[in-house]
Amino acid sequence: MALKNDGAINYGSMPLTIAAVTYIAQNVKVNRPTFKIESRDHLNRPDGKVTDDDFVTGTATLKLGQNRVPKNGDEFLETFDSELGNEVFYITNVGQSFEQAGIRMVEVAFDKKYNT
Amino acid sequence: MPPRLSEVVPGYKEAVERELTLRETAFLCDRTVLANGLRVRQFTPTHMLQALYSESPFVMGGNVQGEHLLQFLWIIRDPTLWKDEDKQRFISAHLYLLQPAPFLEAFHAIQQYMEETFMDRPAAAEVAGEHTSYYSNVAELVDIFGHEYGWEEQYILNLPYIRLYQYLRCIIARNSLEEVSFINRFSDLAAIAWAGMQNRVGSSPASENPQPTP
Repeated sequence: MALKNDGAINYGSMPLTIAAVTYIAQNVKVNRPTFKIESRDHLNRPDGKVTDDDFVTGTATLKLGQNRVPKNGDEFLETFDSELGNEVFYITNVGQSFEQAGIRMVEVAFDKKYNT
Repeated sequence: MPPRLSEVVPGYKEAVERELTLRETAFLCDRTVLANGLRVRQFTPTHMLQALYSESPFVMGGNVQGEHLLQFLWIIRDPTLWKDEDKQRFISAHLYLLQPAPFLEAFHAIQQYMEETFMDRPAAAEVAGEHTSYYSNVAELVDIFGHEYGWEEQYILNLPYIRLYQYLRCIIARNSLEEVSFINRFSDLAAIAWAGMQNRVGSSPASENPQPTP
């Protein structure tokens, strides 16, 4: 069984280098859910279950100045969990961007890349 | 683990402290002191309406002349020091600001005052095309605070923006299903400047196609 971490962890503000561009990331959340395979006997009573890691996803709010807004598919490498070490992620959604006096803010979603 | 911004970004901790101090002291007193030493009131929607009505370049943009400076200082004057009937006396007492050096000092002090006033204002969505508003920003504020807290129009118009915008952030955060992000004017500027420097010197550790270490 590979049960490791089934929670969402909020990492606060941190630098994040996406496609070789450093951004300031806020509200970084990495979700490490699990999936379950349930087994039942002939009377539909539970008689076994396998729980394992599901796909890792995450969200973040990026603060940027003149940098380009990241695009879907842009990759980044980060160590969110020291036990797991480096992991590669890629952007899967870029939300509405907001601006206040030269500071821009955009919400992004990302997935873990498994075959690097 | 990713580094803490306060540990790697020069001036970040100081900027966060400045934001906290400005936010907290705004509730202590309606008055403040400009960087050049002049005592004024904190900027309110009523001040904004007066400045807009008198076409002040401090709110509308454009070149600032001596008369604009005195006009703006009169609008934000401390009413406990200068009554409505003191306008001529006020102008006479501040004519020295028309000299080049005091003028520049006062100009920068007002710019800083305005930057601090609006540091917590909501960020605007970046959308293509031209958009015209259907009502004034002041009407929007009165609507929000009237609806949320039941405050009267005149009470809202005379509350400093620096306090109104903090309440507004609380309202947005409370009404949002998910955690919301805001722009922290001074600390985000410091962090973004640092990130920009990292990008310019090309010292970012990741490449275009990062690979995890085995």
